[in-house]
Amino acid sequence: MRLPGKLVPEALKTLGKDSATIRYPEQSRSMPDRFRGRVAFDPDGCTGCGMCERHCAADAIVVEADGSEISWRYDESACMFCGQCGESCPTDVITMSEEYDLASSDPASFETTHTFER
Amino acid sequence: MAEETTIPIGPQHPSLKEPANFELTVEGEQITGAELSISYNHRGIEQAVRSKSYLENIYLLERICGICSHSHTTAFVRGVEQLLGLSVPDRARYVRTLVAELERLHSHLLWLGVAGHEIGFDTLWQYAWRDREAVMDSLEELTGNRVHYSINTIGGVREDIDTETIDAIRDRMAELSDRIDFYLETVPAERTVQLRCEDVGVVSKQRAQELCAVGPTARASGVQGDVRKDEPYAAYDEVDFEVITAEDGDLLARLQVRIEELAESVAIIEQVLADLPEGELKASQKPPQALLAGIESGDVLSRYEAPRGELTHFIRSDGSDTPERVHVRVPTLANWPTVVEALKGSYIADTPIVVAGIDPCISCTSRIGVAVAEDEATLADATDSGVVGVDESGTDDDPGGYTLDDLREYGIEWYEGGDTR
Amino acid sequence: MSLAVELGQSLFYVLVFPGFAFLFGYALVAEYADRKLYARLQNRVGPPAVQPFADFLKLLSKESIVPEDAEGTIFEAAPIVALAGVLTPILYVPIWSVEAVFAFQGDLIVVLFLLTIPSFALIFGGWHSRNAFGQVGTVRTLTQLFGYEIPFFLACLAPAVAAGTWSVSGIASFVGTRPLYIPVFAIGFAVALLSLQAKLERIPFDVPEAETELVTGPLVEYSGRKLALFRLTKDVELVVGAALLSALFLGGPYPAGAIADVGSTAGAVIGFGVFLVKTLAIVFVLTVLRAVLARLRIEQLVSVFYLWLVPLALIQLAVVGVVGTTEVIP
Ligand code: SF4
Ligand code: SF4
Repeated sequence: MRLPGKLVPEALKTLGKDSATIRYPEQSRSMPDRFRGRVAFDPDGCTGCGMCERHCAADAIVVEADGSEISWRYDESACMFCGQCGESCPTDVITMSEEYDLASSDPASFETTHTFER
Repeated sequence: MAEETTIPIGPQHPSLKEPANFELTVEGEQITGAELSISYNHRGIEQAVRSKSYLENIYLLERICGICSHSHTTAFVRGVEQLLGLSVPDRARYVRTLVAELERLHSHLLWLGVAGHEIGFDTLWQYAWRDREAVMDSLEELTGNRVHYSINTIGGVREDIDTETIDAIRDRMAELSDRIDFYLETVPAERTVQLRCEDVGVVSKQRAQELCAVGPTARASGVQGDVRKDEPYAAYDEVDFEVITAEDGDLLARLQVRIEELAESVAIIEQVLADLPEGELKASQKPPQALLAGIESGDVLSRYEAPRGELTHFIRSDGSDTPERVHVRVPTLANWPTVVEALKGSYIADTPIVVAGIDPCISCTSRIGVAVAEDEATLADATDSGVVGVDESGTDDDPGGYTLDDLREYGIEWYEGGDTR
Repeated sequence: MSLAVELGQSLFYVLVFPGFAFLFGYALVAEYADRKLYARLQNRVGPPAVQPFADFLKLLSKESIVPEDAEGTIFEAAPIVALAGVLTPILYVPIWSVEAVFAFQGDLIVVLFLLTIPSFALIFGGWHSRNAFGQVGTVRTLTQLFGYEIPFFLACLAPAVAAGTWSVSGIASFVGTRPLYIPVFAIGFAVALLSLQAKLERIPFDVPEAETELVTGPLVEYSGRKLALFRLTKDVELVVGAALLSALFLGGPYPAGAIADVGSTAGAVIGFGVFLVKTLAIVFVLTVLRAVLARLRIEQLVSVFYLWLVPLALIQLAVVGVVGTTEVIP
């Protein structure tokens, strides 16, 4: 006769282990180096070439040039954190940060705009 | 004999994580017939693909599925590489294989948990998902994201793997290997699991072949079929592994096959890490737009063994940097007919686990424009005249298909209740 | 003693201890123990200690909807009847001494009867909710009821036959004074534990609720206050069931009687401690059971009870008969 209960030893052994889950948000895990969170942008060094906008599948970045004034806009609610913009940027001024808890009830907070001179 | 009644399961049902609808004909507790309707979740991805460049489409197609995201990008970039005549460097091929097998691990462990949950075995669910975290962590360290790895690019991969990550993955795989042995020993042998899975949802070998089942679903019915062996891509011709099959075709066999495939995946990962060749990550250092400027027009069909079975991407290029057409056939679509087959004769209470048995990915499937044409000429005509889907009534003179405008009209009519289904 | 004092004492028994207030508190403790242990068995953190109480309060404060199609009165009365049904039997089950507060000859039958009330209340409420899932679940509850009640009654019969009394208190003092009988009842105890698990509709016998198939079945239309009462009923039923099994099969407050006189204050305190240990141990076993098994199908469940547990319970009765006539245990 085959009796049920094959998992009993494992279950009882588990009682002695530390739990695999943590109490988020009091505790949170740390992100690995390569983690792709919110896009971080440093206007110093941006040439306004628009490569980031061109390669962004989500249309989350818009670069506009008005004479020598450049406006670089980023919408994190549209961004899908693929990191292609950073890879395409010839001057490496776009990096992927560690920020991941981006939920907010204020839509305006998702938009970031940098306006600067070339 | 009990009276026959029809009960609908879905489109909204607790056991379905995504919408699909089954009309079950039942006699008492037993199911005598089943009909399936899908495509409640049409997302228009194939249409969107036509307005983006090949580079952007990698990320778009990656989002067809949150589980086999690497499968979609690999299938797609392989097709594009073929169109460009690029040969992918060895190291990149190995990294692709590594991510692919990690993905298979996490997908099968996810399924193991879901299957446990469907039969009320929540502890198995929690254990499988806890152990899956080791895989997710590896993927995150390696690629930067738990779900959408975005590691593929045209002609290679975006990220390299360093010795530290190699060691971390090795350690995790060693631990995972013990856990897989544990699952193999206990889960199929647990009496209550057997009671729920043995001889439930049976699909015979013959039926599996007739219905064109793919992946673990087909292999559990004894059908030898695995694109990794039949038409090796990435580094699969250089690693040693076995195609796992079983004979019974019931849910227990699928459970067994998937757990054993976990062990095979770990073995492949160990080989990949041991034999990782040095060298470039990308076939060409040219920026993507320069690379894509040289694309030839033509058609390619790219096959890939996703965790759920064979995945195909059909790409038609017109020589510009955006594809003219991309069509995706996901494994779940190929496996649906086996569910209908398996439901017949099962108990109503088995419906959740029988449906979960093929590891369905429902919204991935909801993207169909089925082209049925008598001959190639008709199909070519149809495509030339801007037809995006061809219906069965097509003749040689009139392809009888739908143009985009037809489809829009049809959609409006459908939603406004012109068709009261 | 004047009538007023006696009346006051009875009211205290019913409303405070071991009646409503104590049961309410202890039921929440048991739920916490159950959930925390379940989580730990699955390697999770689990809920904090106040979680069951917080859940209860939260549900109380939520809107309690009566579906349009439902049979309003029956639908609304069901949870109250269910709770009343499980609160009463504790008065006939010994807690700190071998004597329950309102013991009388034949109270075992009353307790067993009262313990079926929540299932029937669930059946009536679920059926009259007029929800398809609720009705399928109700049919399953009913089928399951016929499955487990018979082995449960038969198993409880064994100690009653051995003790020659139909009073829970009488059985507890009989077993308590002859602890050698505890191993004799092993089979019956196991059968009763499994039947209790089925009564409580917990994995592997949660067929009527089957979250992935029926979204909690009969309970599906219940919300707010009424759902809170049903959930409390389940918790109280768990505690009362555990108390009953401990009295019938484990000798109630034994070994309190052997250490200190059960009539004295010290004896009562020890007896109460023993009660807590024994009931929590039973909860522990039931929780482990729910963690390591998969849910059965309804027809498998019925066959487990009829093909395995009923014969086992009958074997138990035969064993008791043999032990009784041969008088191996003094
Ligand atoms: S990370 Fe991807 S989606 Fe986000 S802005 Fe950059 S390219 Fe666009
Ligand atoms: S790609 Fe880089 S340099 Fe060019 S516009 Fe974007 S951020 Fe500026």
